[in-house]
Amino acid sequence: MSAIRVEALSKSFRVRPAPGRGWARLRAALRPPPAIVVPAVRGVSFAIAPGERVAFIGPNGAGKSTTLKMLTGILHPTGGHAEVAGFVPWRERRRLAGRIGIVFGQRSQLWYQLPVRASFDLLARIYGIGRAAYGERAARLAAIFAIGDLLDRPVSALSLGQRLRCEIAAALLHAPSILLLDEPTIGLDVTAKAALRDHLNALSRDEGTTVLLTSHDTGDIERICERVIVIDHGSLLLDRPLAALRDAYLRRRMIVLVTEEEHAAIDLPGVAVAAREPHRLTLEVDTEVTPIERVVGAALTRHVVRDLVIENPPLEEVIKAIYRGRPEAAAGPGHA
Amino acid sequence: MGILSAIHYAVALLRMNLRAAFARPVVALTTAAFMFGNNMIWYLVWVIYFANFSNLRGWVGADLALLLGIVAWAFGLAVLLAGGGRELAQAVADGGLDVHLGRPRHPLPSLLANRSLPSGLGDMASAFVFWLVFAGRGAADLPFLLLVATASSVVVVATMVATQCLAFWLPRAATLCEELFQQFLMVCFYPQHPFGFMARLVLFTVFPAAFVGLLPVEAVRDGDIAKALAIAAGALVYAALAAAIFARGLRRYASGNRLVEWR
Repeated sequence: MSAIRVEALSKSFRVRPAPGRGWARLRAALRPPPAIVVPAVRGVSFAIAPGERVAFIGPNGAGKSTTLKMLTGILHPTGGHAEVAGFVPWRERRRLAGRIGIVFGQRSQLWYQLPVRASFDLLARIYGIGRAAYGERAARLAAIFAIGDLLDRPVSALSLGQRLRCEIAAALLHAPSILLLDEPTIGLDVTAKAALRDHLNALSRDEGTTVLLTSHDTGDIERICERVIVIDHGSLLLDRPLAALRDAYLRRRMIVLVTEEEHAAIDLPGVAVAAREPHRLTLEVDTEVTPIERVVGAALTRHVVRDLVIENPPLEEVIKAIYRGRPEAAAGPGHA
Repeated sequence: MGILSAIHYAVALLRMNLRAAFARPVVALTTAAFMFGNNMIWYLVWVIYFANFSNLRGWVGADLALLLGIVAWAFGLAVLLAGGGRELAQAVADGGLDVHLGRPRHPLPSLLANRSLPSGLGDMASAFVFWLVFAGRGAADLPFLLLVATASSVVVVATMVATQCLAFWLPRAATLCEELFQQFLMVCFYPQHPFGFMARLVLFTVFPAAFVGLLPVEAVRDGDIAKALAIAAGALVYAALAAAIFARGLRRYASGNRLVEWR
């Protein structure tokens, strides 16, 4: 049985065009223009097995958050069907809520003025967790997410990364079998992102939790997930194991070197110069040809490196590459 | 989840709400003190009125003090325990219901108890001054007064929810929703007994200020249990109505989706 099963799910919003100014606005108020239907999600289908870690990615406005909200029962679909942990989300929202954990990266369920522990206590009441089970669970999550020393601090005193770790732990207090994360790493710095990804991996490994996360950070996909579903303009564009996606689209990395020398050069197969400025060299590396560590090693050996940044290809580039690989899609209106 | 669990949950929500509101006690108590002072200054207008006129169509200063005390208690209790209701329209507009909808409970209680306004404490404190000092009531009257005013508070919360729920039908209308609620409060604060039949019909139905103003004052002044029971019944009916409006509106909830301009 699938943890999540989605069949031809769609969601449209009825929209009345915004009126102009002055008289046009008054006229529109008295006689509203006809509503138009804007599709946000168009017939999306997929299934996720228990324990799988899946990235649901796409650019802004692709429909990923809308899909996620339908899977939690927050939004009602216009058409199609979905089952999450055996429940139809929009019909059995409250029963489903006990089986899933939800984290909205930009919304908090922690009380800002109070210590984290106070929010955990309340969530234990909300989910009807017994005192002993709660104590055990909170201690376990504190260990997994390294938040033991944060529990007695007010949420307002935490950094964004610390708060997000606490948010995810809070969403897992009732031991859900499925964790839905909407942009969990948004706004985090590199270190905090890496820490959060490690903690999520530890959770998935230890508890077999099914993870579905939306992101437009390719790093999230590579570090956490084993499968990728790409959505754009509300339609499913691609559904593949990460390895296949990596081979096809994520094999390139950008390395920015800031050197003591005015002009630096790295001459290795699969390494191309993307940009060159005094004391700064940007390289595009095909990691299939030359592993990233070899390029970094060569740079450190040959030059005095002041700074070094390894960048993932932006998601927009990956999506473009996916379209390039699908000429029929690339030819469609607005998808070039 | 049984009744006991629901009670534990409600108590935990309220305790959390108050803890958060008074996390900075000096700020909270100062806000409450200012509201207390504000109410006293407001009453000064009526002191001046009754210094020049003996009554207002049969109501004397004590009746008015009774009214102000009841409204202050009802409103103060409402915003102290259910202050989140004032932000409901905004939450509807910007997707703030998502977190509450992701929980295995009805979202309305946690939305209401999501915020507490400490100024409510000032309102509630001023109610005692209105009743015991200006209306000349004794300590023996307090239990009945508190029961009636607390029932009125339920009507205030229900009206708050109903007016704020308009945001489900009128996107970007948070200001309008708040304005409507303010109008309701304004009517509550004024003597309603001189109004004619049509105005009273409105005050007992779509704009239920009579359950917060006229009816409680008459119930307390005349010791009329029937009227007190009518307020309690009104509180139940309006609470159910507000919950129904919220549930109906929830079907239109778009989670802050910017695509929805004016539905």
